[in-house]
Amino acid sequence: NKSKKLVSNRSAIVLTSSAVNRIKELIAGKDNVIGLRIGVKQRGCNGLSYCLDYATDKQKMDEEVAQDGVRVLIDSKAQLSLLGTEMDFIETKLSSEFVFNNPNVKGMCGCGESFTI
Amino acid sequence: SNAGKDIDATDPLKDNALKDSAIKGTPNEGQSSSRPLSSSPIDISDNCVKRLKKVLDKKEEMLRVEVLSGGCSGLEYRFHVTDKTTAEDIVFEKNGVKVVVDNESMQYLNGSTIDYSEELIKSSFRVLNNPQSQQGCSCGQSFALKLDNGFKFKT
Repeated sequence: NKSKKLVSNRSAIVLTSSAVNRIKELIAGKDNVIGLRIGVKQRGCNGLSYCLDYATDKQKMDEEVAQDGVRVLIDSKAQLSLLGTEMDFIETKLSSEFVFNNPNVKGMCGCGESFTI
Repeated sequence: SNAGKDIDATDPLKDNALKDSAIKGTPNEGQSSSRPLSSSPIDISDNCVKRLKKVLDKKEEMLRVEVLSGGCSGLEYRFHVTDKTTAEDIVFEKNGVKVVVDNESMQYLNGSTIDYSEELIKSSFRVLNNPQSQQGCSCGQSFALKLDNGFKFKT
């Protein structure tokens, strides 16, 4: 089972190699940016949606995930809902997006952007 | 005595005229009144042009925008890359890139802008400023129709 494997990794979230590469690309050349911050917002038709931002400093309650040379900070409010999530980056001709494979999710909007726990 | 003979549908000249005007991206004026196309066509944003130039490999390829039923608000936009068109299609061209919309979807898209939005979490094609849509899902992929806007369902 995939989710079991992720939890035993002891890291709050796991990044796929394509996500790592994309984050490297995004923060390259931005001197004051130390990584990305993941949060959740109350928004969308299913209650919650992910939000992503550049992080310039590590805040007190942030959970830090460092993997393959990139740093991802998880907002304190998002930690519980993101635990065990795999963060992937999928690029096609039509779109390129970060995808969160979250084992805690119980329901999702058709587009996959908003979810319930 | 010539009842039952549908001249419009079998006239090859008229068919060709339809194709010609479709390629130029002008709505088929003078066609039968069952095509509810107004004079404002679809706009393609500069960002969309830029992205299409990057992702379309072959010259024949174009972006197809469709409206299908689905999504949490009733109707949703779908995007494909295609290299085929039919007589039902209307092709819009801007700076060498083509966007194709079929007749059925056109009545839901008239007056909209096709854009490529780039955000940190997601970059994708989307439909902006659709005069027919009332409200949408937060992701902008799904929408509901504004029924008081003179929109008429084809019967």
